Amino acid sequence: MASSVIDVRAGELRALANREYRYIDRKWDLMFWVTAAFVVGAAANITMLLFAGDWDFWTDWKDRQWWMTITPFATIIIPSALQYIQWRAWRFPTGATYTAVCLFLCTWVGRLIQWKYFINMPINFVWSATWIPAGILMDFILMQTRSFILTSLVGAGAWTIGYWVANYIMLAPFLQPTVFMGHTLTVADVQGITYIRAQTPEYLRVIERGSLRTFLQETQYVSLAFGTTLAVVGYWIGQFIGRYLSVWPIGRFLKQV
Amino acid sequence: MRRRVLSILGAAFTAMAVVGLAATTASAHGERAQEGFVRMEAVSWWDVQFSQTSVKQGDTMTITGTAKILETWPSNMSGGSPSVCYFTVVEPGARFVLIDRQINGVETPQSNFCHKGGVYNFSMTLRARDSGQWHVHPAVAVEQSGTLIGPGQWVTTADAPGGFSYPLQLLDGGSIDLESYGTWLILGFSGLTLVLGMWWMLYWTVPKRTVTRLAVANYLPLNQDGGEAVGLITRKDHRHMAIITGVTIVILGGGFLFQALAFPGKLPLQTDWITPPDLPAVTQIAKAEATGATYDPGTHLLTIDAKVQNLSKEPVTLAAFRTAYLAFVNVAAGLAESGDYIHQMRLSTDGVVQPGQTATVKLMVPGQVLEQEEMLPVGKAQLQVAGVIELSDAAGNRNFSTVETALNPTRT
Repeated sequence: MASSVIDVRAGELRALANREYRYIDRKWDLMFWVTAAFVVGAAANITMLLFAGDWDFWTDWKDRQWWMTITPFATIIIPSALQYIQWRAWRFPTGATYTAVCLFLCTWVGRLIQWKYFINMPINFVWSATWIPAGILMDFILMQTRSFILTSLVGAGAWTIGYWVANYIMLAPFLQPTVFMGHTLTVADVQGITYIRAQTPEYLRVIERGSLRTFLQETQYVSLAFGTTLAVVGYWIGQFIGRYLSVWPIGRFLKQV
Repeated sequence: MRRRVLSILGAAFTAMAVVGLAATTASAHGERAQEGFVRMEAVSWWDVQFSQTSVKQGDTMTITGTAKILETWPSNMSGGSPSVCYFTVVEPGARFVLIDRQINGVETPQSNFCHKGGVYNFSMTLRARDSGQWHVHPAVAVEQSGTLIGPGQWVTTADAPGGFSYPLQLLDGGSIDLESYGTWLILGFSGLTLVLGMWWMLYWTVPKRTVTRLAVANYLPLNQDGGEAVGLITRKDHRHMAIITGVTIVILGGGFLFQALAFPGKLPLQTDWITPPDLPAVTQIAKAEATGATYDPGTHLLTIDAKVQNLSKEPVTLAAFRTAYLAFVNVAAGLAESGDYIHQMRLSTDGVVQPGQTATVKLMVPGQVLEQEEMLPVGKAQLQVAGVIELSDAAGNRNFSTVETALNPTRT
């Protein structure tokens, strides 16, 4: 039915798409993308800090169990909302990538100014993760499926796996063993000990500390599976934000106007 | 109107810039923000020494001392029973790096198990990293409570010609500089992903219009993009996005293969908590208890009534009253301590208790110091004073009795 409507009206819609407007030119597009970047970057950053800040701040928090369980959930919410908004409004499969780029730039500015310039933490200890490959994979899935349900199921998995692979590549050097104070530790552990965080004592780390509840000791893969499941939930929280806290109120306002 | 808005924005940016550029280094660490009675009841510090007060970048400095988790530990912190501690250093940023930590003579890279009444001799060796003048404190963080700091010291660090580096040997024999290790991989790979993201975004936003697409998208069901017929998303778009996605997958796969080959033998993050051994038992020569305390805001005098019982065969001297990071010494005891946190107190007697005797002594502690440190609990939720009374004899034996008593101010 929907397709037939499009078939019938395709010509009209195409003409509408190509219509030239006298007062709405490209500077409105530029203004939107640039100003929204601050809002989107801040929203994504605040959401991440709220749920998973320390995992992103420090190499010695990026563990096998909790990092990949919590962070994909914390970081998929705003990309999901933006996916809905940008797809709904313009059929742009860009929401996740746009959020990932804004968040990336936002966090790097913070790391360089606050952490490097102000308190001189080495950047290899406080580097920001990258969400961009994960965003590209999720936007591609939305573009191909044109379904938010499928994107939530497949895309959330792609988001989690893409996020883990991209950042594990950068984390790998810091998981090498070294002997420090007579104990075998990872380089990341040594960073956490040696670069003093006065108000973040070591015991505060929420990391894998061992449990009887393991699945064949495959902590990493169980965490990725569980992180994916949580990311599906996070995706729908984002959809709720996009649909009912963003688009619906704007639509209602415009109707009143 | 436009000019006014621009003026306001300009003034705001200028103010932010001035505030940012004029920001000075913090030299206090919030210790006075903690409730005084909590600091008094939680931990007492003594014999804190800094091996150097002036170093060059790369030089080492060791902080040694003793911290006791008092038997008077507040019941509302850590459930009244501290169990995990982390001895650390409080400093303004990573100006020193910690290269060694021993608790009761044992290497303690991470946290240690601890308990109420536990006495911990600590030694923390730092290497100077940034030039400047820095206020440094030893501190102990206690799980589910927070960080309690010890007496601090100003330390001056001068530039070294070669700057600062941090050589570290890996288990496979390789050597790295921890200051910069892995930085280029992080920056390079992150930059690469940024290029991919910008490629994706610029493809959609530069050649295509944005805002005006709403007029068309409004007519389309959510699960339709109109295809080639409408022209919002075309076959060319699909092809282009498939290329970017393909490149992304290739980079991720290649990167993953690279890390597997370049960094084999990785470990998960380690948890390495230890239980420090108990210190050798000390000879008990005396014990003290506090029976009451008053504070007179008019004379700024805190008076603690103490009962001291000599259990030895030699005279014992009441040498000091130590509370949190402060020490009030009996000058007559001849303690060779000095520093910003060492003050004098007067006693109602000479402080000497003969063998087998029990003496009542009034400790007259200068209230100005306690007021300056915001440690007097007058007007607070618990009118208590606590700390340790140090008792010593001529043979060098030292006992530290934890005391706590109610405080009665003459007025509030």
